[in-house]
Amino acid sequence: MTYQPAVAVLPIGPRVTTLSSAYLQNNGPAVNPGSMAWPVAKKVIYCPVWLAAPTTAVKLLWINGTVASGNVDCGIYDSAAGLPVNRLVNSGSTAQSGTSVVQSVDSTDTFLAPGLYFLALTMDNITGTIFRCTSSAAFLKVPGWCEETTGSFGLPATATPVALASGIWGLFGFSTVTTI
Amino acid sequence: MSYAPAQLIAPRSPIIVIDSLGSLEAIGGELNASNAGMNTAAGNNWPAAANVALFVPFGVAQAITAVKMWVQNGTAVAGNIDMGIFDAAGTMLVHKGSTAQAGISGIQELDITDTLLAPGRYYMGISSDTSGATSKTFQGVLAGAYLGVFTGCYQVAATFPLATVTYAAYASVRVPWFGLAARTLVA
Repeated sequence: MTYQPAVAVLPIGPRVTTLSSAYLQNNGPAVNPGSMAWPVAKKVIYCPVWLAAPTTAVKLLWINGTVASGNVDCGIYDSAAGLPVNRLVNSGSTAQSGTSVVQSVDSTDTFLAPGLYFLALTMDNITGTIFRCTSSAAFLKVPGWCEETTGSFGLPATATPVALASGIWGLFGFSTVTTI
Repeated sequence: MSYAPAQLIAPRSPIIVIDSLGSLEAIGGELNASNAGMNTAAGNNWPAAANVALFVPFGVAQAITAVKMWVQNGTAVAGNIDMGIFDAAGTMLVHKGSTAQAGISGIQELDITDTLLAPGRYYMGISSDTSGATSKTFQGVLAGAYLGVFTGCYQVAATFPLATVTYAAYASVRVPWFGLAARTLVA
């Protein structure tokens, strides 16, 4: 315990997404986001986000690509030792609806204390697309992205992450406000 | 001096100017990460229909007093603009009122009533009563309107001059380069 002046931090929101991950803001990709199929059916991709102030997630969201098909599950995990552990909230299996639009799901309002969390997304097929930035597995692994492929579709209650194999920087996250 | 436990975060410097496209207080980080570009040679035509107000989220970590708002004009100016600051619920806190767009290729300042902003989230709003090629500003160019939605921007039709609003989904593929300042000298 030390003495120091109170530190001011920016309030969180209105969106917390894979684009707002502080780890990535100074290392933008080379091209604009594009539409791409999910790399492997039932693959879960985890993106770390650091929340410096408390907030409440009220909606989960992602950007559909030019083809909508099958189902998506989007959620938030807490962390331990820099890895995702427990699923805190998720959309559940949600039919992909609309193309080239932000799709959102009203989720259970979930308070998030300051700390490290992981945004997560999975799809049950490789036909439907989402928007993603071009990157590489190495670029994303360094700041802490990871993945796993589940036996059945859906975000697992407990993550079992392995090293990232895909360079897909999918665009997903949550909103702290209800109006999208 | 107050007492606080050590925190693993860097203190932020006092804010002088917050701009819609570049500041981390606004959506600068997200636009940088998504590779949004800007036409800095001439600017772009006004990005929405006449009288549509556009809103960009921003936050302040420490209380500041906003004293000016500004926009970077392009190579054509016409009609009237208005800029203001709104709270998270859409309540207008301050605005300049209808002001002729003036100053080709320069930063146009709008002097607003000095307004204290406590730490929190806000929106900067801008509206024009003129659309098309006669009214240009520098703008961030998005890969799609979905990025405006994804980053938390809003727009509201038939809002000139600015007034308290009910936020609605962003539909433009560009975001004007404008902002607010805590000092009187912007341009």
